[in-house]
Amino acid sequence: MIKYLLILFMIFIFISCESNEKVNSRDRLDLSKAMGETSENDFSKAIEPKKFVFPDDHSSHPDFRTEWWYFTGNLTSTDNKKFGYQFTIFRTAQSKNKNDRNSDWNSNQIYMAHFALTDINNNKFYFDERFSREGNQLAGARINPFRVWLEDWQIKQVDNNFNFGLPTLNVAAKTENSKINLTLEAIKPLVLQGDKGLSQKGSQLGNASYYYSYTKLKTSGKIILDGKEFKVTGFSWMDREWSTSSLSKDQKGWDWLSLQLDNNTEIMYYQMRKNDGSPDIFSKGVIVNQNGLSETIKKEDVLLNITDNWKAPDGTTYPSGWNLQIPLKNIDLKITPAIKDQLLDVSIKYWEGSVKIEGTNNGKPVNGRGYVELTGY
Amino acid sequence: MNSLTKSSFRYLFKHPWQFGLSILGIAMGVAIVVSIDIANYSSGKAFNLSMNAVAGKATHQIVGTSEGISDSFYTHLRIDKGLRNIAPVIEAYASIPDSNKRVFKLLGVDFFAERPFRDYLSNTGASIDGELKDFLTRPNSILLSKESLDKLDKTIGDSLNVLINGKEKRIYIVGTITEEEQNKSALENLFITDIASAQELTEKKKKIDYIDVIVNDTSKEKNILALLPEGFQLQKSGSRSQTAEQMLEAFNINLTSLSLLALIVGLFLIYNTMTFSVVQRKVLIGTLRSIGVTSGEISKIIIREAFIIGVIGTIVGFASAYFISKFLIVFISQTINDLYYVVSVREIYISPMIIIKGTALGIIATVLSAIKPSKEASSVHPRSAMIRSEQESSLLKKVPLMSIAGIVFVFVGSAILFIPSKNIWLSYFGILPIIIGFALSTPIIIILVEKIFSPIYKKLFGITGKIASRSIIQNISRTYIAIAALALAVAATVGVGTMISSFRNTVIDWLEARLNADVFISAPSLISRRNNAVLSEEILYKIKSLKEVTDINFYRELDLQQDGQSYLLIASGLSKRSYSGFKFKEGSPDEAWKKFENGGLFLSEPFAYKHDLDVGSTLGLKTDYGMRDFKVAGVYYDYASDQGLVTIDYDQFKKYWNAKGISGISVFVKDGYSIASVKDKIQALQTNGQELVVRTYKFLRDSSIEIFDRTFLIAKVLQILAVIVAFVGILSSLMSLQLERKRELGILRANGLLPGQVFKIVNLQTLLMGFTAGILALPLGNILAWILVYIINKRSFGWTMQFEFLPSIMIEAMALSIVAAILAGIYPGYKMSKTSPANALREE
Repeated sequence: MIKYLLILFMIFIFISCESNEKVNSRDRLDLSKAMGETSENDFSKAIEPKKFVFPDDHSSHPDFRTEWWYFTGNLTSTDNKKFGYQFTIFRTAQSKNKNDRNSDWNSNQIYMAHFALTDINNNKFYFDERFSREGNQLAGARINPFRVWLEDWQIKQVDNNFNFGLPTLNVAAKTENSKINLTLEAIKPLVLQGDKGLSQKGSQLGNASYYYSYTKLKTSGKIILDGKEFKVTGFSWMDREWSTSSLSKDQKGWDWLSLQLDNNTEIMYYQMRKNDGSPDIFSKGVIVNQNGLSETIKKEDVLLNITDNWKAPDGTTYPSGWNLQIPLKNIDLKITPAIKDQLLDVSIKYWEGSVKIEGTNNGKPVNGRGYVELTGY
Repeated sequence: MNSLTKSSFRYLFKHPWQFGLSILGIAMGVAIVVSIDIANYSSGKAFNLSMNAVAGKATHQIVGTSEGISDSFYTHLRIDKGLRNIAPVIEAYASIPDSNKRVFKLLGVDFFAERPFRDYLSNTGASIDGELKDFLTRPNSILLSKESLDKLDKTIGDSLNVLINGKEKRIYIVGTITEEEQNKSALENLFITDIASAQELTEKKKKIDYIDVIVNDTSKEKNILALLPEGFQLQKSGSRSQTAEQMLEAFNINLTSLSLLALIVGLFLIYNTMTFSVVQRKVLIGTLRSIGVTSGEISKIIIREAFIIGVIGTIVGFASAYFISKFLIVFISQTINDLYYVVSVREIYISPMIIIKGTALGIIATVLSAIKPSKEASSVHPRSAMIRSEQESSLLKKVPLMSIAGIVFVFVGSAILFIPSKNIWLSYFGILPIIIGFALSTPIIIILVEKIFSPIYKKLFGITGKIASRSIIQNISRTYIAIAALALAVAATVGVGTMISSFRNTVIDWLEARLNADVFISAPSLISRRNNAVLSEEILYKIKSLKEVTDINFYRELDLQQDGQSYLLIASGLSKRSYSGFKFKEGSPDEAWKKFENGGLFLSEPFAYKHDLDVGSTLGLKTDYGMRDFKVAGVYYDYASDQGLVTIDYDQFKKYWNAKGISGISVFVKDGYSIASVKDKIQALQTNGQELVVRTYKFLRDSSIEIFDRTFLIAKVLQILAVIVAFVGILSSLMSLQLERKRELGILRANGLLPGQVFKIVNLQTLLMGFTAGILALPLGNILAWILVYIINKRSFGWTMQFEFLPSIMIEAMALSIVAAILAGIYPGYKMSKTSPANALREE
């Protein structure tokens, strides 16, 4: 799963500003320009598969330019109300090394976080965005105990219980009228994406990321919405990725899907879209079976068709319904947004939302819930 | 246009000098009042704008202890307490040594917390150009407005050497900020830097100055208050501007009243002019009345003339005020920077209030001052109106009554002045009846002076002398107003001059007693009278350990912001030999010092006066551990600050405040060593980049007096302007007086008087008028000075000064009135002597 767009946006904002032109931030989001930006080249790069070391690799890799801790999940309350959430903390480095300076505020790392909550029954969507520097302990990532935070939004280790290399986590975030406080426990093993965790994004050397996922985390806790508290349970998905790569000039955006089926199978698939709208060769995914064994799926293995569209208030049209087929695995799924409007109108707009799944796997009917991310529209 | 209006216009056009001078008089009066207003308003506005630019949308500030607020407390609020609308701020001043000492405000912010606070940093409606990466990661990088960049003649990427808290720092321009047009001036003189750079530039390790807060309801306000430790405060955003306004209140009132003085002189002039115009047209008015024009119509004409003069004068006054204010702003902002706070005024601002006030003064006052003359004109019987002498003899009859009224007025004024009050306006209001009283007594003085001088004049100058002196009384209805106006202007000069000299001498005595050390050391300060930058304690120890030094004094200055006011706290570490520098208002010094050493406070006289405190009273101060009560041990004479000072023993101070650093040090040099060499030695100390200002006693004394003189420069300028108004007044009235005597002098010429003799008569007469004005001005001037010293200054600033009677000022004043009068007489004298008798005698 890739969020170059967001990261590049941050880099774009903080590193390269259009000069001599009065434009506000929203006008600046010319994606091709943002993607075309290159920064200092002395950052570390993902060139070859590495040996991952846990729990250390759960923490940050400040010598890479970008990194994120990404969580999505679908939850159900005790009174059977359905919710979806997304919580992501991004890190971006301004330089490979930190200057030695006489101030604790000094930092070369900037953190950004997005938090969104979907109240499916009431057709409501809540979201917020935050930025902070790493300095003065306002944001950061630590290990022993594991903690990633941006002010009071955080992911932290709650005990010394490790499942599949991941400690039990507490994920907490709030906005003015919404709040989550969840406990997450991995119930399936860690999945190394791409080539043993090296996920190639473009043809150039180093245009790749280190990428691993936990595709199923048992989740419980509470959601507070407009003062009302809901006890919830469900499953989450966690992605970790870091890199110094940028998208190719001909790539415009992507559609990314993470699906959790009720037959205990998970599918991740991302389709990079070229400027002409066609899928890029670097599109790929993974399928994780009941036993936690994962298998890479290539672009040519997948048929992804858009079955519906949604028009955002600003006039942009987003896909809003898909048919995903993986003939080799005998999978045929119909994917529908839990609610239409799950657009994050933040520094850069993107659609990321809870979806429901119906279909068949090996001829048997399956249902499921998942998350879809749409960028570059 | 009817014939009455025509006749009115014809009159004005036929007397262009008189018409022009009246306009000039009003214009000058209006110009002075308005320009002072503009200068005050502009400096206030500039300060507020810079405050607003700094405060942005913050509604409150969390203010910490004397050390500021620790970084970790901010993080605690943000993370543990989840406060969102808060932002850390560090503020300092950066002066550019090589560019006319321009001063910029250095504002250290956290870009990521800024969005709700300062528009120019939040990307909405404003934009930021340049490398933000540098802004965040490169030490000492700044953003500034495009306009400031151009004014500094720099481009993005350039560096700049500045002085921050007395240390030279190099800063780098990494970008510009652009603000919407209407907010542009707010960004002037602002350097924005990252909070990390701000800590480095100001050397505030792990500390910020305050936290900006947006909080809109009182319950949330209370929640925040509950989170603050002892010694912290949640202050309203505007309170700093308010404090600044309060500081300047007395200063502004006094400037305004000085400007009103100019207007009073101006009003005399208008009254004078209108009276003349009526008197001159008595015959015409009489004729008009006898052919059936009603008295109401006559009075209307006069009022309308006054109105026209008022309108033109006001317009001209406003136009000149615009230019005068540019010049006054320099003086006023200099004084503010010397005494109160840092402000840089680069633009002229005018408020509707200034326009209303100026217009009201110019037009309404003119019309009001024409009411009496218009009544006179309309009430005269047509027949008697044609007889000139009627007017004069009726005034002469009134002289005894006027004199009595004059005395009554003086008494009323004195009574008002003695009403116990701290109100400055009331004091000025009390001056008015005294001035009117003097004006009313002018005729009797003229008569007395003339009685004495008529024989002398006759003896010295023969018949021309006699004519010259007698005609003052013959024309007393006009001469007395001119003389009173001149006397008032000169008295103002005497009053202000004597007050300044008295004050100056008092300050010199005080300085000499207080500055009883040999060498003085401080950090460079942007406010001359204050030391807002501090030296490290290490420097104190280094100086202490010099073998040439016997005794050492030092102090730490701290600006306590409490109850919306600024209290200047001085923590003194004094050697015993410097105790004698303090002169107490009352009580035994030994006892006072004993109490002081045990934690009592010394209050400077202005502070005690302002806060109604006395020895034994209790004063609550905001310490780093919350509010604490202190006993007042003594009240001492002090002229360092009109806001007043609170002095505490340094050891006691350390118990309640954690503020580090030393504001100033003074040392006594051991016998046998030269002061100059000790000064050089201190200057050469290794100070870790800290610039030291090392001054000898003599230098410090002289530069303090220089600041004093600079402070009163504006008063002097106003004084001169008042004299100019008076000069215009006397010129105008003498000119009309003499021009009116055309026929009289024509007859004398026809009877054989030579042109030179006419010139002599005119000039001898004005000389005597000037002398009479001087005679009146001297007592009035000293009374004004006395009021200024003992009442106005006491009430405005709370300090006691020694009044001094200064013969030199008296001589100057007398010379001034005589010279002014003679100068005013030259042109009419010349003109009269050149007029051929035939022309002069011809009826209009």
